[in-house]
Amino acid sequence: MEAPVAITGMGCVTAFGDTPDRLWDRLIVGDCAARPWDDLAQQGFRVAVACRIADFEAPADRRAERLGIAAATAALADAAPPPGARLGVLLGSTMGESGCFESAAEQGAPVPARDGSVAALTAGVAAALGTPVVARSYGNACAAGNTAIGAAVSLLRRGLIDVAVAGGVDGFSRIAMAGFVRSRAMTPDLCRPFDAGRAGMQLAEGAAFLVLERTADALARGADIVAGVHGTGLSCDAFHPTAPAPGGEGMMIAMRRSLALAGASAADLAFISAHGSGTVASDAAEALAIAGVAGDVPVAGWKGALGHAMGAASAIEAVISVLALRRRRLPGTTNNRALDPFMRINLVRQPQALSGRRFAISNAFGFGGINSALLLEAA
Amino acid sequence: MAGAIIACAAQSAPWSGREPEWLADLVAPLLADADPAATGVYLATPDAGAAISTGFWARALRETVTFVSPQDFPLTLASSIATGIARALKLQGPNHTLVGGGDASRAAWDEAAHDLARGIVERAVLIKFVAGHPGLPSSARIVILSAGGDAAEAMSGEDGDPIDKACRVHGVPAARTGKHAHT
Repeated sequence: MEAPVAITGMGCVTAFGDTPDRLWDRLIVGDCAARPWDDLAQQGFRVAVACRIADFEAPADRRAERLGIAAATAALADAAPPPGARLGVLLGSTMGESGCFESAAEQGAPVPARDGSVAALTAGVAAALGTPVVARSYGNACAAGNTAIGAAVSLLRRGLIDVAVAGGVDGFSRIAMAGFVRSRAMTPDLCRPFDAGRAGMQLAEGAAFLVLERTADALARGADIVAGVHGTGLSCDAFHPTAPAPGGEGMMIAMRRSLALAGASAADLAFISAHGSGTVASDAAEALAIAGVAGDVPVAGWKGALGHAMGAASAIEAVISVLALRRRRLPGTTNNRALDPFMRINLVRQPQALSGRRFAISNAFGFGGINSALLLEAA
Repeated sequence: MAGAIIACAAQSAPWSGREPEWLADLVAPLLADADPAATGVYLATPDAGAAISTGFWARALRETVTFVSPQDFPLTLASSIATGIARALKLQGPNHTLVGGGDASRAAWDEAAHDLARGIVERAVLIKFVAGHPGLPSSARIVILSAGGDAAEAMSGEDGDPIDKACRVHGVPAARTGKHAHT
């Protein structure tokens, strides 16, 4: 088995703040970022509660790009890689620049005047970081962040780049808000992952990036290695446009593939960061998958606190997972009141100390049955 | 990077918002002997979901967000084409959507060849998909890769678009009209 790739920097912008420490400080005390928004109510949304970033100013048709630039530049500054390193930028997003499409529709244009694709986000972030030798844009739905990070591991191991900035971005999307509300996937009050009375997801926005380097390179330059990453296990349910396969079989395949990347087993897992979207079907399938793969390994889901930032969510949860491995403490599952009695998982409601185990899986699943599981290892 | 090109195809069709259906019909005969559980989809596209995103929001403005039909919402995601093909053909391997121009094709090719080399998949369905919109047809070029051989290596790591190049080499013309396949 290959050694993990080193994580040497992290940056994020979420409803809990614009640094990993601020994110951690509010998550660990059980805060919840959800609040009602007058503009959404005035626009007619039946549900007007969301986890938006109140103090981040950006033009509506560049919001995701600006979020991405803020998080990626912070991550790169945190890592401070050597000058001349061959840089790769790998970015995942569910909606792309949603504000571009919304503006085009409001102006009666069939297609946006400015490119609203995920590739446009990547181009904006890449330009802010310098001159990357590789720039890739992943539109793998809500597994896009995990997918980008896993791809970065592969490029580094093959020697195609020296430093990767990899993660995910999604600005607040009214298209997604309308789609999820009208699909009745949105909770009317709070997102409650794995709760017996869970009623759906809560939409959020944000961005997060990890800086990755080959471990030998990071050690040689004396970088602070915050954790290691082995890659991402992937699969597809091929079952339904929006619902997961109810037995969680594809999710299990993704988790087992991630463990296989390090020759690890469930007995090596300190915890699992669940996708935990709070929808009835997704949480039920994920609980079956986790029980099938990992038994009583501690499980926490953080979308009750932060909402679901779509393509950014898995990257944000990767940042939290890295902090948990480093600080040996697992944030709880905010807003879970009582575990669904049909679920056989060891859900962590309140923060708890981690065991001495070294590995963690961070799950992310998307529309169309895209399954991903990122495997992290303590430094 | 290991891999062998075993089939190529191309097709264009009027924009309908139901592209995964005809794409699946095009791909199905090229995967006759493939194990769906060991087959991945690697799609490169500059614009999948863009016209539908704009159209969905235009309808939401007309009909209000309170009443707009959510039917097309999943199709606003760029990933809906690749996952739709996987669903139609029960393909359970990795399902990638790389967004961009020739760079996205090269990235999709690299992901596919890498998964073949690692044994994650036995077949890779590579698709270059250009979405249409009302009045402009959608088009696709398809390459099927299998494990073994080194023909795929010649296409990867070069400038230009490896999916276009593979189709040219295998005699599949540009997908201006109708359907063309070579196996």
